[in-house]
Amino acid sequence: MKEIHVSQIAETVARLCVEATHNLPEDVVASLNEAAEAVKEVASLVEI
Amino acid sequence: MRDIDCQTIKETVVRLCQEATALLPDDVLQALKRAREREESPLAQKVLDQILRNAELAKEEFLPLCQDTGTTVIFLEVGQDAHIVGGDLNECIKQGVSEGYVKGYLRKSIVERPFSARVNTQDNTPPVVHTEIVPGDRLRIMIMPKGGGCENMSRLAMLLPGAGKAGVTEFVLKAVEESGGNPCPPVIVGVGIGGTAEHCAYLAKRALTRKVGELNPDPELAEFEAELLEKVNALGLGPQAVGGRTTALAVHIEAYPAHITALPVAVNLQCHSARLKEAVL
Repeated sequence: MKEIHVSQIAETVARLCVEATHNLPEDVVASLNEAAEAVKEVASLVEI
Repeated sequence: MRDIDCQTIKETVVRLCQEATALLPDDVLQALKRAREREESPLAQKVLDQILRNAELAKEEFLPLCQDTGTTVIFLEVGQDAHIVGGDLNECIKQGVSEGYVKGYLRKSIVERPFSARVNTQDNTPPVVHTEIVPGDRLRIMIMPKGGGCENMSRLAMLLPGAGKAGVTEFVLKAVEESGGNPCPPVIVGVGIGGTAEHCAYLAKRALTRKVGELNPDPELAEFEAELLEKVNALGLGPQAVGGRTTALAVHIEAYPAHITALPVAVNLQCHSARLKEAVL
């Protein structure tokens, strides 16, 4: 049995709220970068 | 901290599954009797007589009220000072449902891969479990066998905030009217307002756990429930949609704050076999 104090939960939630609204998850950033690269490739083909 | 053994939980779930499918809650029974007294149409009266007789027989013979013994929807309120011992809570709930349905000879209605193979799981598992952590050291288990006919009439809309009360009213009335006889009226209308899409749908279902006719403690919502009930019954669908004064036994609303851009509203209908049993461990 492990005890978790409610104050620790409240502090964690507060931190996560701030972090979640500021930082995009890495998997999403990676997907956006892939999409950006794909767009660049298409754009380069159009220029040709 | 209080220990609650998984075996006790499982045995309780077995019992609740069987009792819930056979014994109509007293508040529902009384509401049906009041509806029978109010009803003027002979055909509607006959339908209500049959529903009441069916409830009597189910109780006497300890047989299911309806052949559709439903999806087993379970609401758990777990006290934050309760300690579940002797196993996995979710697993013992699932085992309880399995044993309850198999030993009780209750119809098994759940299929795996609902989008393709649709293979019956043979024991009505898995249940749909909603778990809430609450203060205290108790475990409250509510079991609602939810029939397919009424569940399939559920609706969710993300209304624009400007739709307001009139928009909610229109949406609820349309949902009930379009459902016709499918949800086996007289129904209990569960309405969720606010939250997010999934929470709103949950609220509509949770609203069905309130005793029939027990108004929301919020006066504005209680007034809205009464208004909606009057309007739903003015639709004239009546018992089993043969026409009559009682389309719904009650309208229950549960509400939650919502995003500034949103007015979610959900409707979940419960048939006249409004089965619900609970235990507190």
